[in-house]
This record gives sequence, C-alpha cells and structure tokens, in this order.
Amino acid sequence: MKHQLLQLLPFLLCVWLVGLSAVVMMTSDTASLALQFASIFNRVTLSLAYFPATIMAVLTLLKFRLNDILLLRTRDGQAVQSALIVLLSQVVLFGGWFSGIFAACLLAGEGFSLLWQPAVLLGMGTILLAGCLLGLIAVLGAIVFGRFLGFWVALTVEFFDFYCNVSFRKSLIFSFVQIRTPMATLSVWMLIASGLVAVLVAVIYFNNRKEY
Amino acid sequence: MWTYFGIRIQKRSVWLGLVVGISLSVIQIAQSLDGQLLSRNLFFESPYTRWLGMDPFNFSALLFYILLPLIAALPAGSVLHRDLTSGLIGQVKMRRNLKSTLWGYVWAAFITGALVVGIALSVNLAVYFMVLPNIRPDNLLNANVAVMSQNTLFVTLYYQHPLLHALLSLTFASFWAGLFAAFATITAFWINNQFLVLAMGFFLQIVLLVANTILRLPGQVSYVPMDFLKETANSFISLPVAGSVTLAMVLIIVSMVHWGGKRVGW
Repeated sequence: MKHQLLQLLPFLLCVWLVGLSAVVMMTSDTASLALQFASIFNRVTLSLAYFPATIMAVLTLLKFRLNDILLLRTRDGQAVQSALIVLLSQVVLFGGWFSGIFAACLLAGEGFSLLWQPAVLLGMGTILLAGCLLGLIAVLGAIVFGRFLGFWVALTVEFFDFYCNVSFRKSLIFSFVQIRTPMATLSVWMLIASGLVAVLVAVIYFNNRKEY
Repeated sequence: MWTYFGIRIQKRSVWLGLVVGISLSVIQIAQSLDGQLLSRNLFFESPYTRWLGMDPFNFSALLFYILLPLIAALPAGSVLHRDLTSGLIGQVKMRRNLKSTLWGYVWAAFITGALVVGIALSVNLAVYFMVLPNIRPDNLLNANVAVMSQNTLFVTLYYQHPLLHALLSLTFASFWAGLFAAFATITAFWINNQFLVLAMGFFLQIVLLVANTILRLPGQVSYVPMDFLKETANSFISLPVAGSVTLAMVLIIVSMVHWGGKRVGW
C-alpha cells in the first residue's frame, strides 16, 4: 500500500498543479459564478492533463499476478483488485486535484463559499465518476490488448468525448463543463454508473478468458 | 552494433507507431478537406495553410502534437527497460563497451522516434500537395490562418519560402520526437514499470502544459513543446525560449545517461 501510494506521487503532483491552475482565471475582475465555475472546470486542462494522469496512474498500479489466481483459486479476485485499484487511485488523485482547487480559491481570495456551491459539488462528483469510468476502461483495454494499448483505448474514449463537447454535441464525461440542475447531474451520474457496471462485467468476462 | 539494435527493436512496435501517427495525420486531412475546398478554393488555400503543422482549428492537429511523445516512444522506448529487467545488459557488459552500448540504446530510440513522427508528418504534407495547389501564402489573402511573428518562428521565411519553412518545422518536430523517445528510454534506469517508461515523455509534456498555465514567462510566451513544435502555434512563442527548452532537454538527456550508466556500472 505504501509502495503504491509512493507510485502515485508524481501523478498527485500533476493533478494538484491542474487544480492550482484555476487561480489564473479566478483572479480576473469579473466575479460571477459562471466564470468561477469555468475556471475550476477548465475542460482543456482536465482533458489534456487530469484525465490522462489518472489513467496513467491506474495502469501504473495495475498488476496481474498469477500467484493471486493460484492462491484464491478464482479469477474474480483480480477483477475486484482492479476495481479497488481504480477506486483508490481515483479517490487519491481527486483529493489532490481538490486540494489544488482549494489552494487556488485561497490564493484568489474566494474562500470556502465557492467550493460549497451545489453546482460545484455536483460537477466534482461527475469528475470523480468519470475518472473511475476511464480508469476501468483502461483496465479492460489492458486485459484485452496489453497495458500500453489499454492506455490508448482509454485516451481515445476521453479525447473523443472532449471532441464531442467542444463541437457542442452531447458528451457524457465532459458534461460537468456546464452548470446543470441536480436532476440532470444525477441522470448523468446514473448513466456513468451503468457504464461502470457494464465495463466491470466486461473486465470479469475477459479476465476469465485471459491466458496468464 | 546496429545489427544488435535491429534485432532488439520489435518490428511490431515500429509498425504500431507508424500506424498511430499516420492515422492521426489522415484524420486531420479528412477533417480539413471538405467538398467546398476541393471544388472551389475561394480563400487561396494551399498545403502551406492547411497541413497538420499549420492547422489551428481541428482537434486532430492538437492531438497529434500532444501525443507526439507517445508516438515517438512506441518503437524503441522500452527496449532498454526490457534488457535491464531481463539481465541482458549483464551479458552485453561482458562482451562490449557498456558506455557505447547504452548510448546506442539512446540513439536507436532517438532515430526511430524521429523517423516515425517525420514519416507521419511527411505523409500529411505530401497528401496536401497532391490535392491543393502550390500557392505561396499571402499575409492578406490568408489572414485567416493568423501567421505572425508572435506565434510563428521565422515568419518572413514562411512567406518567402514556405516549403523550406514547412520542412524546417517538420525536421524540428522530428528532432523533438527523437528527444522524447530518448528521454523515455533513459528513465528505464530508475523506473521499474515498462508502461510508465514509455509514457514518461507524454507525462513530461502534460506537466509542462499545466506548469505553463501557472508559471508564465514575460509576454505569455509558451515553453510547452506542443506549442513551439507546430509550424504556427496557438499561443505566443519565441526563438530564445524554444531554443532554451531544446537545449535544456538535450542536457537533461545527456546527464541522465551519464548518471544512469553509473547505476549499471559503466
């Protein structure tokens, strides 16, 4: 566990910097929730830095050990292990990003009030769930194609969704960019959660057929 | 020595790098060329205003330069890591000069990375030459491309000798691809994870990207490679900054080879 947390350190630093980069837009003269929201949820830095870093972190921590299968006499343990690795890495890195945002708010003089806005909290929840989904897609790709190609698969999904968002099409992962009603956000969460379940089922299926 | 690296480098990895690079290149062509441009070239577009290095509009162009370190590291970025892990380096140490062999790994990664990216960019430029007329760009007629001294290096060369400018940009991007591949290779001395070794160049680029949003240089000049590697950037760039970052990267690679080599006992 300690070794795994140490491996997360460079990615933690990266996502902390992503969070801190929000201070650049926050310190502008206009003090509207929409602008502050856009500075926290900057889709460019989140797409090009945060999500790739979280995907890399998951694939760095992922280890498929034949001994685990032999000891447990089942392959389901590996699927659970993969899911836990995704959850652990995403929660830790999300915490790093959140602390960066918090530092940015302090530097910009915004204080705590901005972070407790419902729209901001819901957006952060979407990012955490989207990170978990992308991490699990990377795990699936790693099982089927290998770690490096799994990274490409997850990155392709993420960049495709980013492209849909910038082209004003419907996008799931980058739906946090706009301020939405709680019901709309919850429906997005449900969609992402069902995606998580589907990918997890696929992980279990392909893991059972993988030759170790 | 080169026969040795020819055997060590997997052909599948080289083909994979080429396929990924050329695919992105072709996607940019497909996004950029539309029916109206092919039938009626109203805005005097040419390869010099539409190729991948000049495209400021399409996401695929941005994606290519973001993923350039990954594409470059694919062919030979993990060879040194595999040999360090398997113990082959110990065998090599007994038969050859270890220092020259380690430098050989770095050069092999540099050359293959540069070639893969160079070929992808060349294919892109060549396809545009087959489709669009060879018209010298004009700063008024092609004002939509916004090529100016703040975002383009040697901007007068672009308007006077646009092909030479494009080829210089292509060569510089290939050189940096080689640097990224070499950087990824030598991190194998410290990192035990093959995936992380291959992705280190990409990780370095995203760290610089994020740092550039926080720690800005005077005049908002960008020091992120993905900005100054394009023929025309989406942000402000300058020759001293681009040159300094390139020199710093070369020095970092040389230093890391030296320290890494000491770790394996050269």
